[in-house]
Amino acid sequence: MVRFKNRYFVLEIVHPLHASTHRSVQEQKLTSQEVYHSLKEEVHKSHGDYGSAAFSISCNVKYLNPYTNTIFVRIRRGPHRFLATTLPFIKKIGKQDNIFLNTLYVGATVRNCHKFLRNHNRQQLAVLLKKITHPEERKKLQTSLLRACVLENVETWNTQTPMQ
Amino acid sequence: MAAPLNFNSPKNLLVFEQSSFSNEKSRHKTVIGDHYFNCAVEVCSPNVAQIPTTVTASLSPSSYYIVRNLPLSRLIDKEFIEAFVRNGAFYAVSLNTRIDVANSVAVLPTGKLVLSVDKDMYETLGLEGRRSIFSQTRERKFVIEVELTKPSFTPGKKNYERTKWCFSERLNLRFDFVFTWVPHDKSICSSSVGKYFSGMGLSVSSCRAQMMSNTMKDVCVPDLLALNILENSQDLFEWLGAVSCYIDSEEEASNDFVSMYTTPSPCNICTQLTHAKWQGFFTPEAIAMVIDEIRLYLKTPDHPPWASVTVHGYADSPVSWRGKEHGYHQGGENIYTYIVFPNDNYWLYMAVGSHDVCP
Amino acid sequence: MYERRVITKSEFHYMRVSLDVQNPAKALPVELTNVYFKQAVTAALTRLFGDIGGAMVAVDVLKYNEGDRSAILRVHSHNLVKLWSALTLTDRYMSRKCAFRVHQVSPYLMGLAVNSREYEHT
Repeated sequence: MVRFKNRYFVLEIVHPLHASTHRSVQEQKLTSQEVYHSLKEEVHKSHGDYGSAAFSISCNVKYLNPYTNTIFVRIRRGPHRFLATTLPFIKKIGKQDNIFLNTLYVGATVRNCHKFLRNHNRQQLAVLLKKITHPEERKKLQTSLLRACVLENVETWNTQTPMQ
Repeated sequence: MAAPLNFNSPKNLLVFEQSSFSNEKSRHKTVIGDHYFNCAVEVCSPNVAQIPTTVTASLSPSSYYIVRNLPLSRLIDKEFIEAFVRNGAFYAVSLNTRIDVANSVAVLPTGKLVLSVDKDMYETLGLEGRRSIFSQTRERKFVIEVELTKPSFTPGKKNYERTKWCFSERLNLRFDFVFTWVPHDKSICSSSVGKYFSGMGLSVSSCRAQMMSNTMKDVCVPDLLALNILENSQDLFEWLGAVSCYIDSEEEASNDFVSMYTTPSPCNICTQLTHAKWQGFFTPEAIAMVIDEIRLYLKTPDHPPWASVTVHGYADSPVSWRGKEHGYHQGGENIYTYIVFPNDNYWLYMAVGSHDVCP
Repeated sequence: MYERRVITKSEFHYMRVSLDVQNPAKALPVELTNVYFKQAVTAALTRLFGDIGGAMVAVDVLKYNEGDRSAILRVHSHNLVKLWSALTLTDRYMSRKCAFRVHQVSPYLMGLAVNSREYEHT
């Protein structure tokens, strides 16, 4: 039986100018419509009418996190190559200029992408935690984390991350 | 898969053979003799000012006939079969019929009448046939074969009467044909077949082969002796095609943007390269004579290093070699080329398209 | 002495095409030379398949006839469908309406030398 296969791209919008802070500094939040239209325009430039038609039939922006600048894009397995070859050329999404898209992961199911993103975010949190110097902010972050990860063992968490 | 990045190309077959005319197992007689319907012959040779007159003499007088609106029932007349089909080689193929969209008819010199018909015509006509091997799943084309020289194919017998009834009463099938006849008895004139049809009140016109020749100066010609032919056979065939299409690779390749085609190496500059093309309707006998003349010419002093003879078959003929089915998919090629060397060796190319059986 | 090779995949495909322009009597803004013809073909490919897709298709204009604007093109076999579809879907050249007519397609250049369908017997 011929299967209907998809590919899920996990993308991160990186602003090179603000890369050091890892924070999204924008006035307006990004919408999935803007992302879709920017991607389609770029695919049209790179792969013409054929590419953009194949893209628009099968592409969906599944998840968008404006705080971490993470996007999930779903596309069918054949046309995914059009998107994959176009991603390095994207410089602008919506009103945000001068960005580049970092492809974090390409998966065949949204579940695997979610698993990846969860692990990726955990690692990012650890990196972030190191960077925060102010003890008050640190404490705030820790409490909110503990509340979120209810099943996590508090002792192991304390021993794993260095305080200073 | 949705929207593929790469598409398949149509199938084709190129057969390359290397042998010698003096080799007793060489099949050149069947390759030439079984390719019945030839619409063009090309001869090409380097370092000669013109094609030898013996070759021109074999091809230029080739006359053939065109008959308009010939009813098919006339081809199964007992009189016709006795006078022409049994006493010689009668070659006929329908003119201006596109085999991929319409019906095509041919009479083979072996005495077979072959019809390539579409589904509607097959069902209306009512004669027994088989599905074309190129449309097994979709049932679009059918092939009907009538053995004209079978002893049971005579007036009075059921088979004959039914065929005659189908061709005349059921559907009054008429086609334009291009035909020629080579009698077994050399004393009989081959034009008697033209007189036979015009005697029935049909419009018959006699035609002659048309010749075009040109000589190119200072051309880069591949060195056939130094070429590794088993690896570069496609390149050489492409170069021969470039000569036939009058592509001047020096001039066109001056601009890399326009074309990146180059003559296959190793090559050297020849002072002249002569090419001649005859178009019309040629019998295998005439072509066998051409090849023999070329072989003789290559044994004379001042002979060129090689000579090539290319024969093009009709794109719309229902058969290619010896009754093997032929179709027109994107091109109805059935071409063969002999590259003849002075020591009687030859290289043979047989090129067919997608709706063809391996020759 | 006897060798036989059967090549099942021809490396290249060849097309005999011509460019039909609307109002041929009216002169074009630029005379259509072989360079401009090649540019028209590449523009057709880029329009349908984009910068990346169009650049992946390498086309050679082996012969160009300025009089009737006909040419013999050579393309790799796996790109034949792309080239043919791009030529079919082109409707414009330099703001003039036009159409590419494909007369013959063959996996062999030799196949383009003779067209038995168009030959007039005399």
